[in-house]
Amino acid sequence: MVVGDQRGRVVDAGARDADEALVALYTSHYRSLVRLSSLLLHDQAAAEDVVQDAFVAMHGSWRRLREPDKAVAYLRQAVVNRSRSRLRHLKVADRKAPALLPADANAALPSAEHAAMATLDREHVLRAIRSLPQRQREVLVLRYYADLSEAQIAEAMGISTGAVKSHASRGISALRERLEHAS
Amino acid sequence: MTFPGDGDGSLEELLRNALHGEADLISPAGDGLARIQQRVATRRQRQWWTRPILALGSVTLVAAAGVGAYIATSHPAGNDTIRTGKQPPIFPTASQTSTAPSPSPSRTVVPAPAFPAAAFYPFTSAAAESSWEAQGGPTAQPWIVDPVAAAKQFVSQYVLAEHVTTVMGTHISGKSAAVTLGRTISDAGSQHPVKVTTVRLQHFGKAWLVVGADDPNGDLSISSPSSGARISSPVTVSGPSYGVDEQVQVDVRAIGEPFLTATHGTAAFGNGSAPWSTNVAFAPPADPRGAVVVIEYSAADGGPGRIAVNGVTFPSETTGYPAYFYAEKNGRVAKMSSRNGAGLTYMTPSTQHATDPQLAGSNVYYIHADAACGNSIWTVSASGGKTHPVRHDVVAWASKPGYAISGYTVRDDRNAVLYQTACAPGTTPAALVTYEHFANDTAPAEDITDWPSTPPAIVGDLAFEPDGQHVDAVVRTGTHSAVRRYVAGGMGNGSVAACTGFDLNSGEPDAMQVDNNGYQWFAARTGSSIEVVRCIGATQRVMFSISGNHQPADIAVAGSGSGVLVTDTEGHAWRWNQGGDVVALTPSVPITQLTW
Repeated sequence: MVVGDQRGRVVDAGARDADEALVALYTSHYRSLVRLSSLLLHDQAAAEDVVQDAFVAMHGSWRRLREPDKAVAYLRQAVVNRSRSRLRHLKVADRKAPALLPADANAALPSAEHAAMATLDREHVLRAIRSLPQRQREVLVLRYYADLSEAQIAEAMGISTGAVKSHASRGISALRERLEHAS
Repeated sequence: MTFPGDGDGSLEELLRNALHGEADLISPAGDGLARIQQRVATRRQRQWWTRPILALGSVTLVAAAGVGAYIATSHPAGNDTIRTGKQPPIFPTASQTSTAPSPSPSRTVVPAPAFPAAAFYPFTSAAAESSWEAQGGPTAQPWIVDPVAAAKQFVSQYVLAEHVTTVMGTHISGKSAAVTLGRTISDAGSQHPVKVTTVRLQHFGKAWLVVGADDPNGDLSISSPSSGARISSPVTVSGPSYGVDEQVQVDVRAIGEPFLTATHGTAAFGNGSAPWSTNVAFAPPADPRGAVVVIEYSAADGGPGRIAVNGVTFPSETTGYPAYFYAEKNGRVAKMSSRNGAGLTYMTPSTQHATDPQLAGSNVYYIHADAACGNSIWTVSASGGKTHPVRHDVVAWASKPGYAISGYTVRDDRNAVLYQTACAPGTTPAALVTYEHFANDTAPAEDITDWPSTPPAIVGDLAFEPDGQHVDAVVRTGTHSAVRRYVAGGMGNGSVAACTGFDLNSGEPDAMQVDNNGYQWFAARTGSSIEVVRCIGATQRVMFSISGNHQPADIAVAGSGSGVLVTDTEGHAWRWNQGGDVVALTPSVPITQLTW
């Protein structure tokens, strides 16, 4: 009973820590993680679901994470994995569904201000990125949007740094080829 | 396509710009935290029910249930490929789960309900409501725990339709309520009651929160922005039209800030016009949530005839605090990042010495030293532009000869209280207070109150209460400081102690401000820390502390208390927001005076 009580207090304190960590991490990382997932999924609503899933999972694992740095790495990893899973699911659904509108047509219309900012160059680059194989796309987004190191990308994707280098190199080459072809 | 193809450096830069440009367009909905917390609460509840079964069941059952819980709660997608090794640790195993004690009733974890997604009044977050509860708010403000009183307060104080007070219908069902309010209309010599609006409320914690309001007859409604939508300025507000020859007035509001829209949006319809629509520009409020208020005035007597309100969120919803603040930096007013305190741009020219900035509405006010002794209040738009002195006809907000403004408060560009101290010792009066206002709401006027000798003296800036009639200030006598409350037009003719629940022996207040709910906040020096205290009526509560023997220099409270900035006399600055931690900012130079 004593053990139980002691453990019970630990559980309560742990729950409180997890709640506080959740709010703090949400405040500092939610937006950037949604943006990261959106770049991978090209679907903001799905990206928000994915990131919320990741936060719920992180909260459940807080007693083992405890440190914000570990939690951020965990969140990033969970977001990449879940985005990949969601994309896989969407592709299966796409195959079964009648012809869908292109992703761009489904997207919300940009505001006038945003429309002015959206240059043709950017659109071409984004289309080229979306056409890359999944792993290459993930590496490039993590490198050039999230500004992660090779080691951090490797951790987030669950692959070796050598594989990161390989995907990055191939991705850049493919991107260059596609953009030159488009021009 | 202009890709140069002259090396990966250019391509990488193009790639980086494209991804960041695309990401900047993505603005997550504001209810993310509430949705996560709701799911965490659900998960906790499920675990609570699972534990006793696990403790009593067989090993096989335990293992199966544990694995099931693992899959169900930790990996909703089911195919998450998070690995062990370098990765974050895996989730509790079945055996670990089985050893967890059965929770006793005293340790039952009650799942926290989610803050209503569309709620915006009188609280804009779960943290704000819970801190209000913890401070005895239900006793000090009983109208918040009564749905009818909350609806009436909302219509009079937020919508500013003060004569719409007759309760014409009430429907309360569980955690939801709808209160229909109306007024007596005078039409061609006769008087009859009319229903004007139905206020919708939801119960959260101990409070009834307003989530919107509708026209009881269904003739006026807002189709865009929808309830809970995130908006930025300018926003297009539109709705269907039902009427013959009608006109609506459109505003964007937040708690205590009815002047976000410098000019009302108006739209006519019903006389050959299509459904009404109008664009409204507004100053970004400090609170993360607010509302679009649409009022149709009666042709019979000019009073409000129909009222519709949709709650909305602003960009600060994600962080809980405004993106920018304004501070004195190198003798100039500068716009700075609330995230880390980095300077973004100067608002005033290098040729002008500016101190003590204060944001009111869409303008930043500041003190400009005109001479060796003497200064005046100047202003600049929060979005930048030309600076100019504040002057109404011949009345300028300036110090009197032989005096200098050492503290002030400004409500908008019509009202201010300036505390002025004599430049030369031995001058009588030693200080004076000027109240700049509009007599009969038309002519600019100035009331002057002498303070024959000091102490007592006002420390730092004063602060208007939301009613515009009262002003609070930290007043230092010979031995201690205290927060006092004055009538704006009669400062010096007596005051009452404010926040009587604060023990003056526990700390010395040095800087104070009033939030948009009318709660007083002050930063007190204890000798080992700065304690930031909020007062609701006479009840005080320490909201957060900053360790170290710092002397507070300034405090800035955002909106209804969603965020707070504090500085000390050495130029350190800290940020805090409801439900968050204290964060030390890192400006490139020390800052002591700031506002947001």
